[in-house]
Amino acid sequence: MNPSIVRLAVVGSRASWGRLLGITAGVAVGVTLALLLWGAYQGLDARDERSSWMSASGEYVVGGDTSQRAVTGDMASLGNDRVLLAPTTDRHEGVRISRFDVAAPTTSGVTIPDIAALPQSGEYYASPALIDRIARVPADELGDRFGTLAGTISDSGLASPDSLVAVVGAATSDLIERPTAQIVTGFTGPPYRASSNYQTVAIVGAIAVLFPVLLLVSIVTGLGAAARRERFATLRLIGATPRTVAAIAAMETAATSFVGALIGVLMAALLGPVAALVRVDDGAFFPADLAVTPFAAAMVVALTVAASAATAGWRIRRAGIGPLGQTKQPQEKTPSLLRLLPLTGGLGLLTATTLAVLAGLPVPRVGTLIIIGFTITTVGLLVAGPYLTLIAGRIMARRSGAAAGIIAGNRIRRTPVATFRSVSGLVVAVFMVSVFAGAATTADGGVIPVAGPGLLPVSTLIQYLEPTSDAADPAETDAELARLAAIAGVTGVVTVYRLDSGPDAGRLLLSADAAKGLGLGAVPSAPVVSVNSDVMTGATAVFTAAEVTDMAALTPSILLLGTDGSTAAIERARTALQAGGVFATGWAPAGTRTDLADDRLESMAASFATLAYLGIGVATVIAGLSLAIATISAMIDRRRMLALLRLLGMNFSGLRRIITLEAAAPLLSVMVLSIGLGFLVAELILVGLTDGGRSVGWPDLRYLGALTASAVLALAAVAAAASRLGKNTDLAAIRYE
Amino acid sequence: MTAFIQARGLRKSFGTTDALRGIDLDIHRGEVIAVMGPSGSGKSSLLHCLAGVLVPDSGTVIVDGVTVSALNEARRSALRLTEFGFVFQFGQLLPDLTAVDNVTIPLLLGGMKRKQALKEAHGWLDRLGLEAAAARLPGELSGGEAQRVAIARALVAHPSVLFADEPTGSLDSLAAENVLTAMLELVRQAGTTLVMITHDPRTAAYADREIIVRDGQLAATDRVGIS
Repeated sequence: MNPSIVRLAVVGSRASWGRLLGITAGVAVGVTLALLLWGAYQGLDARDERSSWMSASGEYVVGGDTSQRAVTGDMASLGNDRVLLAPTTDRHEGVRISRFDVAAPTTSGVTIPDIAALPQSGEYYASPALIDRIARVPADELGDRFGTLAGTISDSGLASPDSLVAVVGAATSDLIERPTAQIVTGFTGPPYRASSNYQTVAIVGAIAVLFPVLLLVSIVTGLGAAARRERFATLRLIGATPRTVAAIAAMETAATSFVGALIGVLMAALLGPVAALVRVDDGAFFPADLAVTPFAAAMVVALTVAASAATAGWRIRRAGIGPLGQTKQPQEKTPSLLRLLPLTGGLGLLTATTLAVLAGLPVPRVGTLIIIGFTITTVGLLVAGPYLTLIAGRIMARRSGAAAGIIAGNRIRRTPVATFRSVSGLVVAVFMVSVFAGAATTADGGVIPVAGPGLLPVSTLIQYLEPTSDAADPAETDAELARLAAIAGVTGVVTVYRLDSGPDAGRLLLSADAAKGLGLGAVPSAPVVSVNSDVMTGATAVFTAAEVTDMAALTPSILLLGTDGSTAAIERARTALQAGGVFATGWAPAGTRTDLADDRLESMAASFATLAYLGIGVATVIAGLSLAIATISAMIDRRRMLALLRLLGMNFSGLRRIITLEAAAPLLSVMVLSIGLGFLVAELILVGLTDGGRSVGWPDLRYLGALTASAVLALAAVAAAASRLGKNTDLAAIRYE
Repeated sequence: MTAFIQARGLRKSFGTTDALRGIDLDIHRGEVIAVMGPSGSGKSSLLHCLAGVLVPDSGTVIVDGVTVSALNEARRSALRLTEFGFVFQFGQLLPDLTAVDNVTIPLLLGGMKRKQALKEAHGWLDRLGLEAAAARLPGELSGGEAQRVAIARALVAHPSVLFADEPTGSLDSLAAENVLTAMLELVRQAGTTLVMITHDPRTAAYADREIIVRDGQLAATDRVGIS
């Protein structure tokens, strides 16, 4: 084929250049996002791999190790092939610190891959972020919890540059008392967070973003379709065959897509370090985490170019352009009810999987089935969209009494596929928002309790104690309590007990004086009172007189440290509790109600939420961009018709109403379905993945924020298109185009 | 008698091309004018300036005492809606609307209820022999039918002036004859002023007056007197 013909056909005018630039820019944005997304997915894996040593686990020693190789308080009992490990989650200023207390002989052969040597008692290794943090605050607020810094945990052992990790040396005699203590023979656990559920969520998140990206590429490569059809009709008139014009279309799109894809690769490389700053779960990424290999980048470029070129050629062949152009308006095939089948199928698969799981049937690869069901449902929504759009268009055309409504309704009715395509990105984004927001509602325990009458103040530290605490010398315990009470900012120390039997079983016991000191409401006049145990998790305190009158013989269960609410006081008290030793033997370090609620969030649900809102943000922005491009493109393609309406006396507000209605009708009709479906799918996924352990609740404000953002973006997209109305409805177009 | 449409010193340029170079023209109410001239002579620019589609670079257009060329876009839109009707050579129907819906548009834009607008539109289609085509889309109409629908739409709101740019240019002679006679019959009955661009002397012969535009100026104006 003569290159000159191709050149003239492709870039014969200024408008052609604008169109090609639009395609190039759109493909560049799409490829950039696709590569960043791929990088992020790889990055999550890389993080998991690096931090896999943190999930090392072994045999718990509490309750007594009766094997021949029993571990005692003597370090030598561990030998050189075993380490006593007690992992906990500590906190500082609301941020989690992964702490690993280890006890091992200096001759131990067990190593942590990213630490020079296991720390001895009184020493610790820390991640750079933790070292910085320790240096930033007074020692009695953080540093005193760990001892002497022996070295740095290298980046290759950390999930994120923000990870706060400490490996702290301890004596066997100290660790053996801890309920989390276990014997490990090596630090090579499975990927830290890479449970199958987490992978499922990550894949679902990737699909959530990839759909709008593909739609964006699809929309931009169709830019200026009407003008292009006219040019190709002219080529047909002067002798070009259908195959020739299809080839020209494919070559044109391939060339622009190639340039766009290369720019996309460049932009992804440039934006990688910026994208790495986005915090996911444990924190930001190392820039190298998001780097995609040259082979992967080449694959994305090749796939983009091949797919867009093939689609462009196919579209032109399908348009059936003859030498006289398209004398008849290209008619879409009217969508039928059959379009609801894939959606029904996807929901059916999800429902069947969930029901089977709930029924206790052996379901192999639940995660895979859920991903397949979710993908089919998402595709089904896109397939069903034009049918629902058709219905909306029919209703609008019939019921509207205004010219704008009738014109928009009939246009939608005639071209439901094209109309829906322009809003499909936002529809998918809203569907995803609803799925993830629905899933994230399982973290309902994470709602931070508010202050109020009868509620334990969020400034109070709660230290759960273990029964072994009773082994402490009473005098030593009293001295420790006095030391804690003397800490600047600590307003009171209360010891709380729990009875497992009798009329107060399950309730918490404390002295009436201490109860009054807590200021949680009316306290009966009795030496000892009991209170409901869920007061620790945010319930209102209800005190009753206890039958027990002497608590001296009871085992302390909880230690409450009231503070003045300042961060410094809370951290000083927390540090003192850990450094003191007597009360540092629980499952977890002390925390406020806020901290404990946040701990409950550290779950699959939290992973859902984090990924959700990241993906939703990206997907919504892309979808808004797609809608703006599609709306402007449709307006340019129909400028003759719009100009004609101006000629007939319709003012700009009428034209804007048409454009708005054409976007709003499919958005609203499918959006409501998207929201409902999103929550249904979230319920099915959650119930399926957790064997019915979790279900969907009410979404939080972030969901409303995301929906509002979607609506604002849709309005902005339509406004952007409407702002070009004057330029694209030149009345001269009626005669000359 | 004061002319219904008065154009004075109309000048319009597109880049370095002078489309109109000082045109003065008077058109009386109910008059049928044929505008002729070679391609590129400025016929369409003249029509567009008279109709307020284009704003002249200089000069004035006064329609029924209103200076069209001084109105802003919103006022000109309103004027086009209430006073003017338009018919073009082809492609002027909204492709997504049926014939009858196309005809209702000016009425709906004028605030008429849809039911009443449909009734009026059906009446006009009936008068033009198009009742059977009322529910058809433009793509399903013949060229002649589409032009008659366009005429119905142009006249349905009872405009004072009908601007027609080669209304029969894309039709065969028989269809052109039918369309022309229908249009003329209706405008004569309603007393509507018709300004019609044509290349065809036979079409121009139906006009009360024929004006010839050449190089952006009025070359001649002849009263032909056929009605």
